[in-house]
Amino acid sequence: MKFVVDTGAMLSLASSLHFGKIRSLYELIITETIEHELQQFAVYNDNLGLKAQEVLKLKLVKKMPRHLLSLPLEKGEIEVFSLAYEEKCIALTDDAHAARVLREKFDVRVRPSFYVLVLLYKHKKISKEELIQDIDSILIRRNWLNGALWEYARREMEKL
Amino acid sequence: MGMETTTQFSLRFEPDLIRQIDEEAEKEYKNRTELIKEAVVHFIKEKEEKEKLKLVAAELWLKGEISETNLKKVLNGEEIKDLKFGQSWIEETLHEIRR
Repeated sequence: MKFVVDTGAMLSLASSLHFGKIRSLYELIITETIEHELQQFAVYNDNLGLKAQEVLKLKLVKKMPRHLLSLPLEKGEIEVFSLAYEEKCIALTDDAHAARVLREKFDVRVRPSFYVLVLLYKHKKISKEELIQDIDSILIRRNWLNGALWEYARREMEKL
Repeated sequence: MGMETTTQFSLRFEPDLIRQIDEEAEKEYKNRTELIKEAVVHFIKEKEEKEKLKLVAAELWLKGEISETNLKKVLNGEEIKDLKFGQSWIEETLHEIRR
């Protein structure tokens, strides 16, 4: 199974205790702009910067879409969604606004980064306790919307 | 407490704004750097306060503890659309896992 991943989702996954498992089971693809955004994060030596530095050391598959979807979003998101559309695979983003804008115009499968973790749980690669523990540490609450939604997601996951 | 390190970088402002900065700095007995730093810190704090308020309102709405009318007092139309989409997006994601 392969995923095209944006910067926020990649940093979330890189923060997972099970990132190695994720990489061995799933193909994570990035685009040129996502690589550039990761390089911009990597300039800083804070938590996200260090995660970006780790990700950049990995040999991730980098691809570019042939055509860009017309969307009022940032370049990185447009590349990720366009590539997922062409490759007929799932786009991973933690940006609910970008996902909504995409869904309003195009039929592209888009999921939050935690989807990969719940897949690990579904396929019994991690326990529910490990899932919840990971959710607490990986979902990067960069704004009010992420903060509220990830808390909601966490509560819903406890009911799984 | 150890010395906090600082980084120097340059800024480019219009002459009128520089004059205003200098005038304000003089009134406050501060230099340009101190005044700009204080303004930026104030701006960030204010934004953080607004974010906190939005977070609390969104969390309460997701728990069903406040009405949409009250939510509208804190979030604008687009933000409410994002929040509602986010909720159904999460539910849809978890529903797919449950199948």
